[in-house]
Amino acid sequence: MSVSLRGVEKAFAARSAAPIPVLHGIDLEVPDGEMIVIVGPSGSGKTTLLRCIAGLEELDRGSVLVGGRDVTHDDPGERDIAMVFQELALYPHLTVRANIAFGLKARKSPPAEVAVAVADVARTLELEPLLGRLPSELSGGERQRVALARAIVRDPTAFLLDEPLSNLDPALRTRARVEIRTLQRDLGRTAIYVTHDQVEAMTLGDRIAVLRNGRVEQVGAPLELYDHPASAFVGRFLGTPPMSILSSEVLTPDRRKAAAFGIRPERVRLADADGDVKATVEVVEHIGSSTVVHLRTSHGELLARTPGRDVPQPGETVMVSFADRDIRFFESEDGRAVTP
Amino acid sequence: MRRDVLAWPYLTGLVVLVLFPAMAAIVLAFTEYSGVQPPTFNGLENFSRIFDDSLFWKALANSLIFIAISVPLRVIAAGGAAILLHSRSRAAAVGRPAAYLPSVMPDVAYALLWLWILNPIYGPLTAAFESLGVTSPGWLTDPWATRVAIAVMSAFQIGEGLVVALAARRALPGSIYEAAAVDGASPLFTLTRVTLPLMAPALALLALRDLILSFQLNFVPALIVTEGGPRLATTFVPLYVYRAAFTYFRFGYASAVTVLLFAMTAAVVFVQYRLARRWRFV
Repeated sequence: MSVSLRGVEKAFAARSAAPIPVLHGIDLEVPDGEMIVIVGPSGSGKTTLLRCIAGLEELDRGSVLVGGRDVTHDDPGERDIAMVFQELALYPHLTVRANIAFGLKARKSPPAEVAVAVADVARTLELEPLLGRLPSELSGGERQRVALARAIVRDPTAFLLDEPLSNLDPALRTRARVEIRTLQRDLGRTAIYVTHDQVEAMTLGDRIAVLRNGRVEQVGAPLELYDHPASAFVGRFLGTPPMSILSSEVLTPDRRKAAAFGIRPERVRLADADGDVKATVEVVEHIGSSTVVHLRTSHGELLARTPGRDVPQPGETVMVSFADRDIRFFESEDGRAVTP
Repeated sequence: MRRDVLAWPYLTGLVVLVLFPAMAAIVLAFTEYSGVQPPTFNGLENFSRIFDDSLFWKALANSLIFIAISVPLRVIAAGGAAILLHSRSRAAAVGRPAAYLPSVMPDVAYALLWLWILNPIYGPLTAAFESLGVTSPGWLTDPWATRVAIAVMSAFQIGEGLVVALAARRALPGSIYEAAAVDGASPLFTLTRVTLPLMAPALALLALRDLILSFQLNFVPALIVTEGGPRLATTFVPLYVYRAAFTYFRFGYASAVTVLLFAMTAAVVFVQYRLARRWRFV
């Protein structure tokens, strides 16, 4: 079922000052079966937004609709949604089996149905050998799978996932990411996934919503956001290494269409003689598959990513060039995009 | 300055006020001593007398009845107060010191207050029963009502237990409550399936501590409120020991009862400790 947010506002009371606004009128439509990733830096309000959808925070203004039904004033348990918490929040005294069954028992499902549902989910997530264990006897990856199992066993209309992979090591995170994506597609349920990791955002989401200071900066498909960021912030936030934002003064006057421009590192070409900008090599990072060169220009830092390993060394001066089609113009170095 | 110098006042107190009297009690338990004549060694005679003394068995039974009523009451009171008062709300902030207050009252003042509350003629408890049209139990005249009254008195002095239970409740992560709320668990379901099982180890520890404490904490109310009556119903072991020593001057015999009580307490603690060790999951 779809999830809709309409003008969601939330502020937190402060002891000695006026309430601190966290969400400023968020509007978001998540169609049925879509996985949307809400991404943003720490303090951007993404977890608060998720908690508002779950009903764990009361809205100051606005409404939350699940499947077209206004659930703004419903208790969390009445919204027919499931949530996976960042710290997973498994019940430490209950076995894996009892953890998974908890929600069904809380809703007074018949014991036979509970047993069948738990067995099904345990099979899907390969948890069968672990059903008798306590959470303290599981690895990080296993706990994460139990938390997922607990969410899907109730067959809710939508899933909320709050940085569920943040406590896993990088190798496990990659695998878990694929598992979550596959599971969500198989179940066909709407999912709202919060993360501050832009790689997770790019790889998991059908769409991405970038949040900044409690406002939606841009919503769209991952590659759309990557290629056409609506602001310098989105350009910098998505992509590793990030988009370089420079003053347009480094360009020849005929090419300047706004105060600043952005360029993706893989679009920057290093040239020996002819080029647009003179730069000094500061740092060279060999990633393996490619090399990232940190360059200093007269108007700021510029990153270049090249597939080869034969690159200029720190201290050398190089010319760099970029094609017009690869440049994205912004009102300022922290401003909105300017459409050519 | 050596760091362990700070331990000396404590250690001195421990030796002078606890270890020395304990050693003296153990030695005196094997003597005949009136406090006037020097003690004379009499072997195990005091202990054999204990087993023939029907008043001792009566006192022991009274103590066990008190423990059976008071320990559950006190643990429920401490655990319940912790669950109700753990939040950061203003009401809970007022409630916490209010719940702790009876524990800092001097025992004698607290006992005198209850003497007034339980008074069959002008006591507020009797008045409360009568206002409901119910005949008030004879709080100071009926043996069972008096036993219950003394246990209820002790259930309000739960300050230390409240602190332990509050710490246990606050140690439970908020996220599991949020998970339970999203799972659709009712407050009662959450209480019985999450809160109480997770607080159980701390509450078991409290029960263990209270069991030891309850052998002793009825002394002042039994002395001041009921004077051991009615019909010896509240003559608990500590009061029995006190009277043997300071009313009848049988210090050797009183010491033997104390040593026996100590041994019984140690045995119960050992059994509970073994049981509690199995209770680990976090």
